[in-house]
Amino acid sequence: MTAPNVTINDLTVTFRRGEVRALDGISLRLPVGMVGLLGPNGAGKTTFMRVLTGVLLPASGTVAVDGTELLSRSRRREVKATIGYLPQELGLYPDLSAAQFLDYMALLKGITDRRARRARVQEVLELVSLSDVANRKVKGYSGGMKRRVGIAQAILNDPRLLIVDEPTVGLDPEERLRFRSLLARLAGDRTVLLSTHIVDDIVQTCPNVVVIERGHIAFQGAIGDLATRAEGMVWHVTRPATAPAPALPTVNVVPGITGTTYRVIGSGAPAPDAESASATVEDGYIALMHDIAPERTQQPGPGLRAV
Amino acid sequence: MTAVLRRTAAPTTAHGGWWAKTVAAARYEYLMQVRRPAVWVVVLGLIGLRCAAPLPVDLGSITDHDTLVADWAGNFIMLCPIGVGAVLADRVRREARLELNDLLTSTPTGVGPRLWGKAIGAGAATITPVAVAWAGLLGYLTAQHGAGVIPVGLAAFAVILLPGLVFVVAGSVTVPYLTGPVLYRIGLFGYWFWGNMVGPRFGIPTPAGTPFEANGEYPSGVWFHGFLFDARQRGITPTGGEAVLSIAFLLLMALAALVITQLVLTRRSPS
Repeated sequence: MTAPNVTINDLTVTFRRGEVRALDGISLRLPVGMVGLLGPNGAGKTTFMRVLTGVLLPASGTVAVDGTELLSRSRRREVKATIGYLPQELGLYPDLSAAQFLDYMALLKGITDRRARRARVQEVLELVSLSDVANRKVKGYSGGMKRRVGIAQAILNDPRLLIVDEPTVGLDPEERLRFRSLLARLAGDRTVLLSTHIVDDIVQTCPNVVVIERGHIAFQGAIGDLATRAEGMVWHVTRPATAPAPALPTVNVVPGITGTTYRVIGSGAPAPDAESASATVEDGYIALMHDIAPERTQQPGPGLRAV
Repeated sequence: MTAVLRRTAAPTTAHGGWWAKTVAAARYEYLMQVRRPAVWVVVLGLIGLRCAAPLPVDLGSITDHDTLVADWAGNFIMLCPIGVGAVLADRVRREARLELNDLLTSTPTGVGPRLWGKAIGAGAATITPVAVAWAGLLGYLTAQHGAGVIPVGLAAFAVILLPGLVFVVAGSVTVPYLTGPVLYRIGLFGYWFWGNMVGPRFGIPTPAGTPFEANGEYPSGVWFHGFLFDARQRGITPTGGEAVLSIAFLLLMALAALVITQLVLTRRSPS
């Protein structure tokens, strides 16, 4: 098994009879390994993922897997058999146990041989550490356990392309770290597209990142290049606690004895006493979202090429 | 989460296993539906309500097995299909309510196996309380009249009760896609009274007393000497052919509802 060659060309998705353009002419090629998908709420990340999984049809443009465009229903079904999907809003049948739910999903994914299916279900349950509670009804599970059932069903069919939408929302920090490392280990020779609001999750796991903003690709490239965009534009500014905050995009605020220190993004020093700081991915993302980067052009990184 | 994913089983082709997927869907739909207390309370409650009310025929005075069983079947089916339809109607939009639609649509399985699985599995689960109550009744009648009641009772269940219930099940897993469950329940209640209980004596055009009613009056009257209420009011003495027509009509209508719904949903779905 090798990772699929997924090429998206001029992809446009509209809602409300064309009034809303959720995705507007997106073109990119997904590389092997983990790819982070960043963007503000409503940017089009979930829509993009739903198109890739065949849940939603685009208004125009194409998605091609291994050179074949997903135009026909039969072709989409063939490709779906090689995709795993963990949606943002994960629903489960509350009255089924995890083992029953996974057995059902395995059948829907085409694993019709009973012995192979049972072995596979057992395997993924062990992988997500749910073997001990596999026969308990899902409605008694915690949020983290439900998410683990979600990832288990996504990998049942040994997908070449794994698409996970906000998988760590609502998880406690330890559970989040476990989930993150699981995804990183699964990446291997497949492509994992990880959408999240948590920049640190992407920094820790994804060599490549795509940023979507208002239906457009705002950035695609190596994760380090996103941080580089803010280099020389990150400042620490300390103000008395009662003074107003600087009118600049603020990455974080740290109250201290001498005043409040703001980490801000600006193309020039915001104050004479401002101290320059080295840029992080989060700084690069904020700079990008506020259009502060000197040039707003796509910067393809190694292994992630613009089409 | 320490294990490493081993690749043990490659999925079969996406097109294969239509029946396996349908059977699996039916199995899990059955499990989920039969565990609902509402299914048992509503269906058994309506059967109990009817059987506790004054009966049109004094069943205690009947000694003929056929007639006895047929008239009990008539009492069973008088109200319980309304309950069967009512507790099935919300199954249709359950996946949307549970936010499962994206997950299910992302699999290579189309709408067909899921729709048929829901109809067969959830339908069978909802009919289960009727079957259990019927088995209990047959046990009681066997104690009173002997084991000869059992084969007659099984046959009566198959040709008097089941066709009407299958008809209602098919309607209840298809029509609510269009109407929503609440409106469907109101419509089913109205239909059942109008189409099966408001006889020609009221002067209203109705299928009651014709082969197109759903309460099994024709098979009951023709094959089990059951009480013919509305048919007699129309001056009809049903024939065996008309009884077969009545059953065939109900089953074909059920089939048509499911096939049409599958075609419409498949056309709308990207999978």
